[in-house]
Amino acid sequence: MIGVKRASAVSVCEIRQTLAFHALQQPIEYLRWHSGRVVPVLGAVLSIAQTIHLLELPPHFLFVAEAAVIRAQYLFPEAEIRLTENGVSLQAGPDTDLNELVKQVRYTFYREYVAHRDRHVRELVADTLFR
Amino acid sequence: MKHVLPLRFDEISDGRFVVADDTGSAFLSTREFIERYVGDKLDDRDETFLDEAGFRMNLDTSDLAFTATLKRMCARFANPSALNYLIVVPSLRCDLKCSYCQVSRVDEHRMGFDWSDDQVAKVLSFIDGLTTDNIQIEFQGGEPLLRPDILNHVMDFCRGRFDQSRFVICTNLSRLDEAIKALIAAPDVFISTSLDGSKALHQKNRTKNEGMTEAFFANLRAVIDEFGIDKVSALPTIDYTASPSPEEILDAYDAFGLRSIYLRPVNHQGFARKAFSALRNDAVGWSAYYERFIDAILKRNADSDQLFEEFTLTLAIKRCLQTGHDTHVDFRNPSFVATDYIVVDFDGRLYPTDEARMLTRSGVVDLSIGDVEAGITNQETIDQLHSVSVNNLDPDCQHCAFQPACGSDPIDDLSRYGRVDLPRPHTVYCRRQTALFRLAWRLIASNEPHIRRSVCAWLDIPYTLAPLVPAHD
Repeated sequence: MIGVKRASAVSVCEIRQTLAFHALQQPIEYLRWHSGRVVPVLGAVLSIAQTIHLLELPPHFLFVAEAAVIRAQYLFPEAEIRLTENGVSLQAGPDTDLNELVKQVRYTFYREYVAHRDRHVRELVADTLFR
Repeated sequence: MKHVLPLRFDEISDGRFVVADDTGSAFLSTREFIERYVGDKLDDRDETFLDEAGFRMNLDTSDLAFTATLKRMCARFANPSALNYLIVVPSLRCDLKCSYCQVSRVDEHRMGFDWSDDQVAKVLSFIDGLTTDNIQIEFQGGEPLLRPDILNHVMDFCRGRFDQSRFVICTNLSRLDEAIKALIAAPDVFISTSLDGSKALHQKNRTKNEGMTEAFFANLRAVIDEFGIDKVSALPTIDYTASPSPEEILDAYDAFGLRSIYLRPVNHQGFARKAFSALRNDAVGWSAYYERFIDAILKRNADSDQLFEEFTLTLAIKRCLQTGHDTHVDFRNPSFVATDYIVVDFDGRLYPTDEARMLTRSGVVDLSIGDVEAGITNQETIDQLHSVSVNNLDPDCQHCAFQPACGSDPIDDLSRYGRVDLPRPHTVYCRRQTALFRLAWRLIASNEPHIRRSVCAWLDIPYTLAPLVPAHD
């Protein structure tokens, strides 16, 4: 009657750490546009890569990157966000505000990172409240 | 060593952010601060502000700021009382056929859709078994005033059984004879009715003919004149695709001296599931209309001593800034069901919420949890609903700046999508709530005198232009 908690959505996601590593090392230079035409939109896609880079992330970053991409994928399904061998790609429909989309994806990375970075604070609060 | 509490953020307008911790304490800030916070590049000025505003502290109970944080965290959790609120349906019959009817009414002349004498006895026995010493009963329908005799019976029983009783009759006010007047004259009885706006709009949506329309407006006037404005609350149900004029609706309420309006969109329940199926997954249209309505209220309030409020917005603003406003089921967390309130249908079956009753009646999913004779027997359904009734645990709500002030509505998710596990931002509930809280925070952040005047009145605080929350750039 009541569905299973989102397990299926996660399991179908084919993201490997090696690809995430490539995403870190190789800033994206191209965005595959909605028509399938490859066009240079350096700033837009780089802003995602720059977000990753500027955070100077600790070693657990790969986990955060995966989590952030998974979250971005289901929050913005129309964007078809992927980690690929060439980096991060996203597709935007003709009516999509690309700047807004990139901004929201960036915020998704931020939120995921902060949640992971500060998890120990939440754990300590919970331990103090419920011990 | 001091730590900054985990902060969530939301861009409420271009470049302007609300930043909140897990307790809902919040401040206003900028994109530059967000970049510094996420990039681990807070400067001395940032740390001083966060220290003074209570967002940075030693994570030790010897630090008063940390103890205060724990207290605020506890205060954000709704703590339901014992079962003391019953929504009862003594009759499913109704004398109206509203276009958006979200309950499952039957024609007023049908037989077998009222509580029988035997059923009344079982309901009273169920009520008698409650452990509370105060009770509130909301009579729903159908049209409950088709059976004033049953209402009288239940009221008399409760007055003798409990220290305090309060009764709300949800009625279309199509009839108002002497027996009904005697019923509602009691100081513990209140009327909740629907007023959709002008006579023309009300007739189009609800009464369908001039005679019934005139009767309703006359009866509403009579109740207010004879028993006072505090006896009555009213709400409009809005088909926002028809874009009814906010000014026209405000005029209608103004004419009766009604100042609190609870804007209710057509719900995806009952007969409205088919009649308004196009609205199943729409949140944008409603939120746009809602903002237009609030604009109209703010403009009208600017030149008036008698201020209007929209109930939901007032509640949202209060919950953004204060704890303890946990009585509305759509705005509380956890939102556990079948704890402090329960629904008793015309056939004696029990439901966790009125919407759960409607879903069952529509044949979507059986959410009944027992009956008045056996009590609650279907704990499994309650447990399943409880598993999604704590928004702290939702993987999306965890990242949301509005989570501490928000709630959850798994019944609405079931109604619209047939499941409860969609990503929150994909649900109508989340999108409407998010738009509502962004609007609430824009109003809280505003220092325009005419906006602040309304916000202060809604918060029940003296007028001030001083910031209502800290700001840091």
